[in-house]
Amino acid sequence: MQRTNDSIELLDKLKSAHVAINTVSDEELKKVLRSFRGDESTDQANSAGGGGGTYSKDFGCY
Amino acid sequence: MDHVPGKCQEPGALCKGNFQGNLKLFILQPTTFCNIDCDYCYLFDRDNHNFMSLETLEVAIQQLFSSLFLSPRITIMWHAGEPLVAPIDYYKEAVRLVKKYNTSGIQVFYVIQTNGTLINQDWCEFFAENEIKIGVSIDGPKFANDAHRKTRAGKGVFERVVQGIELLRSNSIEFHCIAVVSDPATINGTAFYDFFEKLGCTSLAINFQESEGANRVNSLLTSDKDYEIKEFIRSVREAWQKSNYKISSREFSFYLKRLIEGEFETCPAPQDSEAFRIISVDYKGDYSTFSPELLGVETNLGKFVLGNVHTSEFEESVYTESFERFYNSIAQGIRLCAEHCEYFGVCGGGTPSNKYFENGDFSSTTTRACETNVKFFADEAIRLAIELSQAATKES
Repeated sequence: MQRTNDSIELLDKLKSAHVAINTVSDEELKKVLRSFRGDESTDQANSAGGGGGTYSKDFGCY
Repeated sequence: MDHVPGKCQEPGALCKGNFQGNLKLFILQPTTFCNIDCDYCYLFDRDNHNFMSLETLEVAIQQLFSSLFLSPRITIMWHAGEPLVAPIDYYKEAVRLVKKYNTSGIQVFYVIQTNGTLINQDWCEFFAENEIKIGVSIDGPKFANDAHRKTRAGKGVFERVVQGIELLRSNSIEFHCIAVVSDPATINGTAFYDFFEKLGCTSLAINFQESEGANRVNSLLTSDKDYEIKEFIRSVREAWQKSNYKISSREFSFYLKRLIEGEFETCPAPQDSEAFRIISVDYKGDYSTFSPELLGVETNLGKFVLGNVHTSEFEESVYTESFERFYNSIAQGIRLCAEHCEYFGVCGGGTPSNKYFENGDFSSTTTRACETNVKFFADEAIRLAIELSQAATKES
């Protein structure tokens, strides 16, 4: 990654957000995300066509 | 792709062993035909009544379960054209064939992405019996949906879709929704979210309209639309929070998970940039990997087809010139994203189909779809992460 001001600023934001989100309790995160931190079966089942869980592009699924 | 020690005995990246276990999504495109005619549809052949034969279906499924690429969990998905214009018996046969050839106990999930207009009680019983996950394409309230999702006679299909959804609900069949947003200025994000919550879907995926395939007209292509798109995303996010996250959000869930994980220097590539993570098979038996929208498209590197299930095994395609061309060009595009895009740390690289359709080249980087479907959502997820943290601090 070329270090531009924009990229440095965004990386800082990402790192701050990473620190911030990891202060949130697991209980709260479960509510927000339904599955997180390696719940692979849910992610895989939901990965196709925008079912939630792992983000996948829409595959033109209009 | 780096050589994976112990996986492949052949030199170089392009040997089949290096893709062992990659395949997690198998897409069958049973027909090109769609019974409706959305004005933003990317499909070139949606007027043509082409159907996959049962012979092709069997060969495709047989190949799937004998493939070196197969992972221990596979999602079999039907889309492209309207899948429900194919008869139920086609799907019953597919399920039978999966049972026949899945001799290793691979965990199989089924998904059908449908426009919802053809759902009836027979389909519901079939979905329930076989635990088929259903995705319904609907763009929000009637005025938003019917502005773009129409019959060939120009009539909106909203009522028919809602009727199909009511049948799913009365049969206790869970469904997710994919909504294409074409005119964010015309719809309030809160009303949009509330609509889907009341509809009863388990999760919502938002795609801002893309310029892709047969659809070359898109009013969201220019940056003067940025403000209204961002405002729409913000208001959807606020409504989602207000509802106490009642339905799952594909986009916010994904970016929040990336923020939890961190490691922004090593973001994994999205699944349609990774070779043989997805295999798509069309009605003729032609197959490809990477973005499913590209299957059969004439590109600057030739027709986007790696082979046909009747004449070659998936693994053989690794050694074809066409695969090498596509693989190298897509890999170069991902490298460019890594070098030039500040969002690479949360995205992992733009999708090959958007790069090709917008930039005319897989070896390229940012697209408008990157902005509307990645950057704007990631920005909102960052704000949400900070807010969640502040709320947690306040409570403690």
